[in-house]
Amino acid sequence: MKNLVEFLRRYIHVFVFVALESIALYAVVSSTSYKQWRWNAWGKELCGPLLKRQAKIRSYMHLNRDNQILQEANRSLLHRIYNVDVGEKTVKDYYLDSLHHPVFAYKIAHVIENTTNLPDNYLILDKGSNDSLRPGLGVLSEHGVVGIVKEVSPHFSVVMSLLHSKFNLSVILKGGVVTGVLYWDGHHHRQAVVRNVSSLDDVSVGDTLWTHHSLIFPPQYPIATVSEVSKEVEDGFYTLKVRLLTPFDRLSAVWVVENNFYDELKSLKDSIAP
Amino acid sequence: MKNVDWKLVLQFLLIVVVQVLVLNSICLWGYVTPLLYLMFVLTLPFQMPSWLVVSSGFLMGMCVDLFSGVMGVHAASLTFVAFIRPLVMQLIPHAAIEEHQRPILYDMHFPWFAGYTLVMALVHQFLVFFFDALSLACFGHLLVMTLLNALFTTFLILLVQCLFYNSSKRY
Repeated sequence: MKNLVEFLRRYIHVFVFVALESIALYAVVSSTSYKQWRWNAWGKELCGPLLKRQAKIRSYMHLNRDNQILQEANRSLLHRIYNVDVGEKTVKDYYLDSLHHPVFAYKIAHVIENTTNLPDNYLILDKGSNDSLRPGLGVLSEHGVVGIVKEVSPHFSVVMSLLHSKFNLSVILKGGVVTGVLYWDGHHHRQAVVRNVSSLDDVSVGDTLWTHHSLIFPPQYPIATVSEVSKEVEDGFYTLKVRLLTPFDRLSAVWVVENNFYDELKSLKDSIAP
Repeated sequence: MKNVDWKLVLQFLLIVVVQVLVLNSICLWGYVTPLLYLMFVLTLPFQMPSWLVVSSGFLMGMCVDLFSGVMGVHAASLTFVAFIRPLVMQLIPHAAIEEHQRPILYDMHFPWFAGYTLVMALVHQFLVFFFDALSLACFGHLLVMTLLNALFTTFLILLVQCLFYNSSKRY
């Protein structure tokens, strides 16, 4: 008896090993996909909170790539929405007809330098002439108009921001006939004024302003919302104070828009006004 | 219960968390997933009874299995490795071990620890891949994978030993 106890004590690790290894091997061998699934589900139940946190961290690390995918998706959507046809076709028809030349082409770019506090502000984008950018193209954000490309180098381009004393753009009030010209008054990066407003009939605070008769920007692209309507008349016109839709202080991804018919329209325009 | 080494328990938990949350997501070149949790069994004290080493190997393997969603693969491999641990220790020649020493890089000589880790990692990796596939059909592929993974695991364990372990003499 004493010998047996001694024997057991001496080889207990062997017994423990055989027992545990058998359990583990049984689990390995007998694991059908259903059992695996049950086990998996049970494990997930137990470690759920931890795994959730891990998933959160992982999704954070993938934000960069996800962002790129979203930008690309947005670009193609933009392409569909703000591409009115030159003929009398609807947007849908336009897409069915692959022979048609798209009016506006969009490219993704990133802002690498940006100012908002100077009287004349500029942005620098990470795309240049190598990506077929050239002076005169428009720059948009997903919220609204950003500016116009002024200079290009092979890899970068300088954009005249909407926040520039020389920048002006003709605008139309959403759905209405009220038009005007947008300027930046140089005060705040979210504020601008619209001059040459002929009437205030349908104007109310909160209305959206769109691009209008522009060769550079797609028509009816949002720019700003009306924030203040003053009744004062200046040279026979009213003036509106507006809130710009683009958050210039935190611009990151933008689109550079190119009007494929720009040269044609420009030469037509120039032919009547020498 | 009075003899429970809480430091080891803490180490156990820490290694499980690092293994399942960080290392299991790594798949270098599409092949290599380092199995750091082997280190726990490697560095258990010399004086620890063998049955306890085997049991902790089983427990650690089960924990990793639970998160990986495979049944028993890691548990079976690590239990086996824990069982052959004394054998491998004897296999590689080393100087006399003093009372306070543990099988960690700082207490032992580098060649001994590296060899010991590599042998254990090779056996462990081979078993993991073998149990996972349950066949020796692609034996060549299995060997290459085992070698790659074991080398990387060894490297990682040595790195962790260098960074986070001190000589036991202080205690």
